[in-house]
Amino acid sequence: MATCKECTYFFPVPENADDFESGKGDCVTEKEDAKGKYWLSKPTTNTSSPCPSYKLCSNKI
Amino acid sequence: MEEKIPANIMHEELGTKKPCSSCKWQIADPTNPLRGQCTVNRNKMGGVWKRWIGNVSNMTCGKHEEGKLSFREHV
Amino acid sequence: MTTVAGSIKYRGNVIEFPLENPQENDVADEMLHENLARPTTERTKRLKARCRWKHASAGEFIDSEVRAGIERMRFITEAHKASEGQPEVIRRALGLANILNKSTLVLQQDEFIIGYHAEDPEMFPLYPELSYMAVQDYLMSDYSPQPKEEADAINQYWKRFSMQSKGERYFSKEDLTRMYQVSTMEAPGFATGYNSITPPYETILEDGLLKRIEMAKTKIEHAQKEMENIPWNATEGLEWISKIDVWKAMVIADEAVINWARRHARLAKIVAEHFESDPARREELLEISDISHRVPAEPCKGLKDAFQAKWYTYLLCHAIDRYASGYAHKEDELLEPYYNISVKEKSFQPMTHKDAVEMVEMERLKISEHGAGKSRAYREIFPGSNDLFILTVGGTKPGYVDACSDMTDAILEGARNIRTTEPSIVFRWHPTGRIQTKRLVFECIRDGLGYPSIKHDVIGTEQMKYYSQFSKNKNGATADEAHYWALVLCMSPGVCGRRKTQKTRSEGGGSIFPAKMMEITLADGFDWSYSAMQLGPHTGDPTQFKTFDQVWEAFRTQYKYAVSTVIRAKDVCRYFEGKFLQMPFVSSIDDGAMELGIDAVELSEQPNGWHNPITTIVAANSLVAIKKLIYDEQKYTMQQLVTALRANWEGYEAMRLDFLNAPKWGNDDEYADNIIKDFYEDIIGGEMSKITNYSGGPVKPVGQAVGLYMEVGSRTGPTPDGRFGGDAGDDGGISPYMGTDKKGPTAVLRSVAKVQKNQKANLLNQRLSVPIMRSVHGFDIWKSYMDAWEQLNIDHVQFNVVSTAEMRAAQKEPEKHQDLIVRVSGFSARFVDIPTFGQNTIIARNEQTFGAEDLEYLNTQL
Repeated sequence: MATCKECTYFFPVPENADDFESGKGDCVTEKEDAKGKYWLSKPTTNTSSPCPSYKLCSNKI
Repeated sequence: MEEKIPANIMHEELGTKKPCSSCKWQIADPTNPLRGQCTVNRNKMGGVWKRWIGNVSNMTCGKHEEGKLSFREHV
Repeated sequence: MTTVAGSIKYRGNVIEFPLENPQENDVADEMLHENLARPTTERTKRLKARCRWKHASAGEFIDSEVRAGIERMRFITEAHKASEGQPEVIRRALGLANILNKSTLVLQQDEFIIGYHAEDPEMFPLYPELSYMAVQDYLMSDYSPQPKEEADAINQYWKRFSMQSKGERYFSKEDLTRMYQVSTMEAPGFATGYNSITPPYETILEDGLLKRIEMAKTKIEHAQKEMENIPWNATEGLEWISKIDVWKAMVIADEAVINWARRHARLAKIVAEHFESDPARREELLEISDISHRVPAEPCKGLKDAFQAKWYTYLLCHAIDRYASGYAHKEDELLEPYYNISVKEKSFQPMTHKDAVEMVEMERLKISEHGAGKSRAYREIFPGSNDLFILTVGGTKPGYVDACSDMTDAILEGARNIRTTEPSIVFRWHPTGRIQTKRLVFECIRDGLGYPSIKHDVIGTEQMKYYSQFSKNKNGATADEAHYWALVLCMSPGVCGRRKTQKTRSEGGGSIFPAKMMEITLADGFDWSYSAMQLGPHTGDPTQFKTFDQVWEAFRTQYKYAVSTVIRAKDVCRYFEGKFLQMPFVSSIDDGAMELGIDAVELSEQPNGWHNPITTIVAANSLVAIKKLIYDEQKYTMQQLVTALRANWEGYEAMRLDFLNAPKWGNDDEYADNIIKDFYEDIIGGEMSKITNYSGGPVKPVGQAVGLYMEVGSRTGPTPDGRFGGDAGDDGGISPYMGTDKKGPTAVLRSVAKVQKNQKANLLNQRLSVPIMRSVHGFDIWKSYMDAWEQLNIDHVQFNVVSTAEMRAAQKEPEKHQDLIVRVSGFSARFVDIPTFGQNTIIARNEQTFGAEDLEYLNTQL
C-alpha cells in the first residue's frame, strides 16, 4: 500500500530541525491558478495515506 | 375590527412563501445574521433608506422579488 | 485633454497655472489616475499585475475566489479540547502553537517577503473563540469555510466559550439589541471580534525570540526559587503563580513561532532545490530561506531581515493569534537603523535606495493581498479596500527634532510609485520636517492616493504626555517616549515601542452616531424610521420643548446613555480578554509584560482611551437650524418640523430648503460655529471625558467616519439639517457636510480651528482641485495651506485630489479604471469597488479651489 514516504512531494524534516520527529516530513506541492504559481507546505508523516496529489518518486522506491 | 396592513408595508406573516430572506432587496443585519435589513426604499438623491427586519423568515411585503443585489446596488 | 486651472489676479500679478508635467496636457481628465503608476522594478510591476486583492464592499467580497479557510478554526479547537484543565494563558499559547505547527504554509512566485495567514492565498482565517454571530454569518454566506458541517460544529463548540457569550451576560437584552443595530452605537467588540493593536515590533527586531525565551526562562527559575523560600509567605509567594504561567506561555508561543518561521525556511529551500528552474530565483529562494531561518529567532542584521521579521510579527498579531485591523507602527524610525546598515553602510544585505523602495512596494503588495475574516459590519464600512491598514511616518524625536530620514522617503516613494489602496500612510507634520520629504508627501496626495493623511505632531505628542499621568502603575510614557507614537488605527495616536503600546481595541476605538441620536431626540428616544423600537432613553416629547436648551439637554441625555453603554461594553470585553484571550506571543515581546509577568492585554501602563463619534456634523447642523428657525426667528414650530420629518419632507419642500439653507459648519460663520464649537466641547467631548476606562484614564472623542457615514446614514431618517431619510451622514469627524462648505478652503480651516477643548482627534476631509494641485504652483499653495493648518492647531487633514469627470467615467466603465483611488475617510479605496451610493457621496464633496482671498490669508508666495 502506497504511503507518503514514496511520494515525490514528501520531504523528510531534517534531523537538526526544531520540529524533527522520526518519520515527519513536509508535503510540498506546486499549484497554479489564474494569478500565478504558488507552493503549499503541509506537515505529514511517512506512514500517512497519500492524497490526490500523490506522485510516485522513483528515487524513493 | 383589525386594521388591514397595506401590502407594501413590511409585516409578519408566519410561514410566508415570500419571506424577506429570499428577497433580493434584503441584506444581512450587520451583527446578527438571523436578522436583516430591507434596502428597497431608495430616496431622490440616490440614498438607500433601510428598514430593520427582526425576523427574516417570517416577514414579507408587497415588494418582494426573488434574487440578490450586487454590492453596487446597496450599501 | 487635461483641464488647466484658469488664471487669477494675486498681489498685482496675473497667475497662470500651467501643469508641472507638460506631458499631462495630452492626458484626458477621465484617465489621469490610470497614467500615474510607475512601479520601481519589473518584479513589482508583475506582482501588482497578479495581486490577489481582497476588497470588500457592502458586506461582500468583490473577487468571487475569496473565501474563509478552516485550518485556524480546526487547530485552535483541537488544542482547546486537548488542553482542558490547564491555566487559560497556557491554553492560549498551546492554541497558537498548534496552529503554527500544523497549518499549511504558502509561498508565492516572485515574492521576496514571504508568509501568509491561511491555507490558500485566496483564503482568510476565522475566529470562533471571539464572536459566534460573526462566524454564523460566514456559514450563511458565499464565503463559508469548507467543509461547512465541520465549521458549523466548531462554531457550536465555541459558542459557550466565546467572548460574545461571556460579554452578553452583563447587558440587558434591550441594550444588546440597541447596540447590535449599529445605528446609534457600534456593536460591542465581543459581538463582532473587531480589534486593533500596536505590536512591539522594536523588541522582536532588536532582540530576536531566542533572547526573549531565555529571559522568560530566567524569570521562571527565579520565581520558582522565590516560591521555595523558607519560611513560606503566602502574601508574596502566591503572586508568583500567575506570573509563572504567563512566562511559561511566552516560552511555548515563542518556540512555536521560531519553528513556524523555520518551516518557511525549509519551504523556500525545497522550492529552490526541487521546483525552481531559474538560477537567479533559485539563489534568491535560498537567501529567503536563510533569512527565515535566522529571523525572528535572532536579532535582525539588515533591512531584508527587518522587513521579514516585521511581516511575520504582523501576521501573528493581526491574523493568526487573534484578528486585529490596522498596521500600527512608526515604520520609518523602526526601519531606519537597518536602512542605514544595508543602504548607507552596506555592511549587511547591501542594497541601493532603489532596492529599499522595491522592498516597500513588495510589502505594500503583501498588505494588498491580506484577507481579513471580519464580521459583516466591517465588510460594509471600509468599501473598496481589504481592511484598515495605516502606518505612520515623519514627526519628531525628543526635543522636537525632525524624525524624517531617507527611510521615510523610501516609504513615500514606494507608495507613490506602486499605487495601492493600502496600507494608508499618515505623516506627522511639524515645522522642522524636511522639505524634500514634505514634497514627497505632496506628490502622493497630488496623485490622488488620499494618503498620507496629516496629523499635527505637537498635538499628538503632548496628548501622549497627557494620558501618561493616569498610568495605573505610574509608568506611563516619559516625555521622550511621548514622541514615539503612531496611529493605532486611522486617527488616534498611541505610543509605539518595546512596551506601553495599545494591545486591544477595548482600550480605545469603536463608534457612536450623533445623527441617529439627533433623530431619536426628536421622537422621545424612539426609532420610528429603522427599527420601530425604543432606541434610547425617554427624553420627552420635543413638540413640548419651549426652549432650545431643552433640545440641547435632551440630546445630551441620549449621548450620555450611548457613550457610557459602549465604553462599558469595551471594558467588559477587556475584563474577559484578560482572563480568556491572553496573547502570550505579544506578551513575550512587551518589556512590561516580561518584567512584570502580566499578560499584555491585562497589563495597562499607558492609558489611551477614546471613542469615535461619527456623523456629528449632521447633528450639529441640525441643532443650528432648529435654534435659528424655531427658537430665534420662530418661523416654524417644533410640531411643524416633526410632522415634516415624519413625511420625509414630502409636501414640505419650501420648509426643507429653509432648514437646508440655515447656516452650516465649515463657512467660518459665527452663528453656526459658536453653537457647534460648544456642541463638540461641551457634549461630544465634555460628556465622554467624564468616563473612566479600564486603564484609569479619561476617554476622549476621535471624530471619524470611515464608511460608516454611508451605513449610518442609510439607517437614519430625515434630519433638521435638510437631509432626506437614507442620505449619507457627514464624511469626516469635523468635516463640513458634503457640498455645504461654500466659502473656500481657508474658511473651513477657520471653522475647524475653533474646536479645541476635550478632543483627542478630529478627521477633516477636504477635496482639492486637480488642476491647481498638478500645476507648477501646486506644492507652494499646498505647503502654505499646511503651514496655516499647523499654526491654527488643527489636529488632522486628509485630501482627495480627483476630478468629477474621472469618477463619472469610472462609474460608466469600471473595468477601465482599476487604478482610480479615492480617499473615503480614514482610508483610501479603489473607487470602482465602492457601491454607487458611496461613490456619489465622494463626487458630491466640494472641490476646493484657491482664490486670491485664500492665498492672501495663507500668505502664499508665488
